[in-house]
Amino acid sequence: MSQSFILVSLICCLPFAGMLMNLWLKKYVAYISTLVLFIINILVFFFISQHETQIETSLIWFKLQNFTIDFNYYINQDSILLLPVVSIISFLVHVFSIGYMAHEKSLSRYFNGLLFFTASMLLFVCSGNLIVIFLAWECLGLASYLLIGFYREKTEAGFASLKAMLLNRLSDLLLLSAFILMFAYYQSFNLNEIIDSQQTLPQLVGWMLLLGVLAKSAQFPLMNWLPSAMTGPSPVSALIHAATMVIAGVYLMIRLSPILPLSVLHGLTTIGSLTAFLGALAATQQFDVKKILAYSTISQLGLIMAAVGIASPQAAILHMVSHAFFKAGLFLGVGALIHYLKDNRVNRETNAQDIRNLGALYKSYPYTFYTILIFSLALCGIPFTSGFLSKEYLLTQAWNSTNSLSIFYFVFIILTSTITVIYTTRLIVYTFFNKRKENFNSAASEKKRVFLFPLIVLSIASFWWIININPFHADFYFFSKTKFITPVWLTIGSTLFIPILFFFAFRYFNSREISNSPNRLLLQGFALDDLQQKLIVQPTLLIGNLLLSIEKKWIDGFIHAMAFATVLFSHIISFLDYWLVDGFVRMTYKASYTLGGWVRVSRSGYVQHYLFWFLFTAVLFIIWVLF
Amino acid sequence: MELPLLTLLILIPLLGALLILLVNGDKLFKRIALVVGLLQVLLFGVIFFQTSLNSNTIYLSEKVNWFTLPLGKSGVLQTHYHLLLDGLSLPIIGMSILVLLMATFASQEITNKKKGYFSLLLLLNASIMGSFMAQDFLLFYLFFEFMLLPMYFLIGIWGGKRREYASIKFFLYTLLGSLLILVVLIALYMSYGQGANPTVYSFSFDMAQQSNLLQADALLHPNNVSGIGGLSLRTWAFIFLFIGFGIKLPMFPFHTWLPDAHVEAPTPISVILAAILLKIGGYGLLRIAYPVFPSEALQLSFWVGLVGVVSIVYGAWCALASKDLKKLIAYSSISHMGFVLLGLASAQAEGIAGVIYQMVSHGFISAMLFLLAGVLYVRTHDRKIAHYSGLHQVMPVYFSFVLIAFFASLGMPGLSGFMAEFFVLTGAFMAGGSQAIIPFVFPMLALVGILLSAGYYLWTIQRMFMGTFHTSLSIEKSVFTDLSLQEKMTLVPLAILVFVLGLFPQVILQYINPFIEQWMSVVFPASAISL
Repeated sequence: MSQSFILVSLICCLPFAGMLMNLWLKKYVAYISTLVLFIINILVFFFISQHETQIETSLIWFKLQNFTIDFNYYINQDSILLLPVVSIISFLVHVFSIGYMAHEKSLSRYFNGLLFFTASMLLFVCSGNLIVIFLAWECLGLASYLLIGFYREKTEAGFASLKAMLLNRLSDLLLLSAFILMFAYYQSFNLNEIIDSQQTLPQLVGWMLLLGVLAKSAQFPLMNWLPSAMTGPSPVSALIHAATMVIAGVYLMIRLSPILPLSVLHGLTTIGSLTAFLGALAATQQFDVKKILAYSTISQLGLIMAAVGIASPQAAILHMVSHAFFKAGLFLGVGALIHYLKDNRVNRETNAQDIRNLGALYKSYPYTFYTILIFSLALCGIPFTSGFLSKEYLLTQAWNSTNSLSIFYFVFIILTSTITVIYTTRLIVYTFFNKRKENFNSAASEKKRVFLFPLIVLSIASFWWIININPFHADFYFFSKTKFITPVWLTIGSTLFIPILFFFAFRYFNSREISNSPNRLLLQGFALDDLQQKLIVQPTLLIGNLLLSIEKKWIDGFIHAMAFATVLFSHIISFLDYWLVDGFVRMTYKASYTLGGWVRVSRSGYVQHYLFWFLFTAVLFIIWVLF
Repeated sequence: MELPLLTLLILIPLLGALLILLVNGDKLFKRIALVVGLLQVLLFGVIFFQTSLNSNTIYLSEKVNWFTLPLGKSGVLQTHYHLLLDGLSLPIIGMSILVLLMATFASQEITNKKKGYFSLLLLLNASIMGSFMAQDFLLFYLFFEFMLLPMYFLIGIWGGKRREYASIKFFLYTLLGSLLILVVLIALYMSYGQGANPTVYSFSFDMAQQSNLLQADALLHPNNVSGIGGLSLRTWAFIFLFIGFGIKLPMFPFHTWLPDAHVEAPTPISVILAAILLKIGGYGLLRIAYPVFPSEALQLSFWVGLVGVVSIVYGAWCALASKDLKKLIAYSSISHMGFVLLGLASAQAEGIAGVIYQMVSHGFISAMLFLLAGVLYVRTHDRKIAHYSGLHQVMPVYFSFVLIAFFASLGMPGLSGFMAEFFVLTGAFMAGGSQAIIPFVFPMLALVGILLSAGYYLWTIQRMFMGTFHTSLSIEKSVFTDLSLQEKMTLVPLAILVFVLGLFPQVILQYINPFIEQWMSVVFPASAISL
């Protein structure tokens, strides 16, 4: 067994050790979990520093007739990039949670959920077997389900988790069947063998894969679970619903992209671009801070997904990495803000997440403000941020690509980026600038120092230097040096366009009250909830009730009728038996009885009677003989 | 002399039942039943560790002549007392022994007529052991039929309000199935024979592979062209067996006895019914119907698969609409047993392996589900889903077990149910692909069933467990105590097994694989499938 095999296995299994420790030392769950994540980070960096991407070792998991299913890892450039992203953000979220969840009950449930999630994500990133990938994939869903519904008392949290799980299940089952069909096609579940075979997937399987990742990556039309998933704790939203789990679908597509047929790639671009645009549009009309961010995530995920479609997985990975950091930061920052505001409410009823209740908070919460500002600028793609570079890379790839849909995608990136600047500015202005609302005590302070560490680390990771030393050239350190030339007009154009747009948007929003009449369709995220409810859920329930009543009426009714008929028939038989069969017997008996009765009359005991009968018979006899 | 271990498995519960009849003392009965169960576990452990996993697929076998019956001029009927443990019966017997022990342990809700209850339970135990091991058809039929008797009384005496209706329905339905099987049994005994003057007629399941024993003039000889309604007699025989065992399974549309029986039966009996008795349907199909009539089965694969898929989807849909927790679980059983038929219809090694896996896995999962439903019923004597909400607040540990059981049943990877359904689906997709034994749409519809199962379980969690605590029953909050030690002791081993089977399938695949290999070579050799 190679050393790196053991190392990766250790990385994936450590969270479980942490969970066991948590069961044992209930008082220190937060610290134990954070420590475990810290160790995982060290191991991950040790593993990466070895530069070993080929892990040959595989264990036999089980044998099914002629097939041996191995447990193995498939590590490549993409996994090497994603591993530290997952472990770092998970670690920071753990640190943040120490402060954020300090006063919650059932802390161990929370941290065990996070650990379980981290383990599944790490396994998902590394695994090289489709069954294990599916297992990890479902565990991600389960962790998400449990953590969305963490506040079990809240009814809406329950429904949000239910919705997330069901939509994901719908997609997952298609993914499972795609995997099985891949097995039938390649005769293997081993990702190494499948990719090495270099055989393109059949169309049908490819499309099933595509549909299979839609829900997990919150793509149109299965995206509506993500906004409602925001009922979970904010750190969970940062880790699961912004930075890591939601990119699982894209990541899977990236891994399989060498064997995806062209039509599926086109499908990815189309759905991705559409999702990016629609998500961004919906984000402009939300009032809930976290929902703005949720739609923003959907929109950015769409961009990433579409990048896979134009056969540029590198661009997708790059934007995935930069997005993971600043979006996690945004969620944590907003989470910190909400946490502070909740304690400072004048009126207990005030919703601290509604931007209509916020305003002019930059003075009261300076650290939170500055970090959120950095993340927002990165999201908009202002120069000198990581977001600028990764978007530039996306644009360049779209421009240079020979794919027939790339121009369409190019236009959608520009459109989406424009709207992104608008909704981000709207969020910043109505939260930190504009007019002050008297909903919160002014004497507020940022008491929780533990929030600062993750926020500062993440904001450091939101600048250009995590991608390239040159702030205007997105040549990522880790990519093999290919010829990569950004058209000069593109760099200059985006350098100028986005800050100017930001400036005007800022002035526009700062000069007026928030519009209280949003577009209803956009506010409700294109009414997907209603549509699914009316078109799928209600008919399903109706059919269920119908089937039950049909069963009661017809199947059971038939049986009851049979039983009744049998009983009736037996009554008839018994009637006939009594009157006909038994009747005949009784008749015989009655007849002989009656006859006997008559005869008996003759036996009266008087001699004269006997004499009479004797003479009578004798006379009859004589008459009979004579005539 | 070597101990007849298999006979002991049957004999121990029988002796236990006798002992219970002889002794007096209210607490003694359960103890005796528990000792019997533990002895069986011990015995099974001995068997389990003694068996060597060599090429041999038969681990233990006991055979003696039973009785002979002269059949006039034509020959003699010879029956055998023949018990056998192979890759099919070993996992199922193991599951049954464990579930029976748990059910005995969980019998605290039985408060009256304990003597009768426990002795009937042990009788049931013995006949279950017998029917999973019998290799002679008549012996199998005897045990199979005998199961009805204790079950009828166990539901009819210790059941709920409509127990009489439920028990009679159960009895008549199963009897109908048994009669269909009996017809085939007689035909088979008349068909397989050895030698001449006199021909010795007999039928044990291993004879199915020996086509030379099939008498040329027999009713069920493939060359017999006479038929009824356009179908050959062999096809009819297969259909009879299919329906006969299908009623037990149960399959749509012969399933309506199950929800009633479950709703009325006391918890431990529900557990046995769902976990073990349903498996006899699948077991019979695997052991008798398919090996004896392979080509007929292959011809009818479409219909077998169709009934399976309809059961999967229909059961899941009815579960979604069920308002009673136990009824919901009962319908989910129907849905999950549909996978047995789908796997059989696929005629692929993976699918058949999935069938056995599903039977074992569903045994543990359904046992857990019914025990959990029983936990609530013991406390409140009410099972309406709508009557509760927010139970997580008062019974957190209970909720954890519910989560495990529900997720295992809805096919969460890492738990046993997923593995089983995954194997079946793999088989079904492969059968739907190149060979077109069953249409591609069948496994897709089965996926709809799995999706629906996620729907009804998660919705139930949402309705009963999430939110703030509330009950519309007029009972104190203090009634809702969390799991007792005894309840935990019944649930924990099952939960562990569900995890083990989900993560380390090799544990039982090592027994199933050689069996399937041999089974496939007899029933569906490559030449048969390519036709």
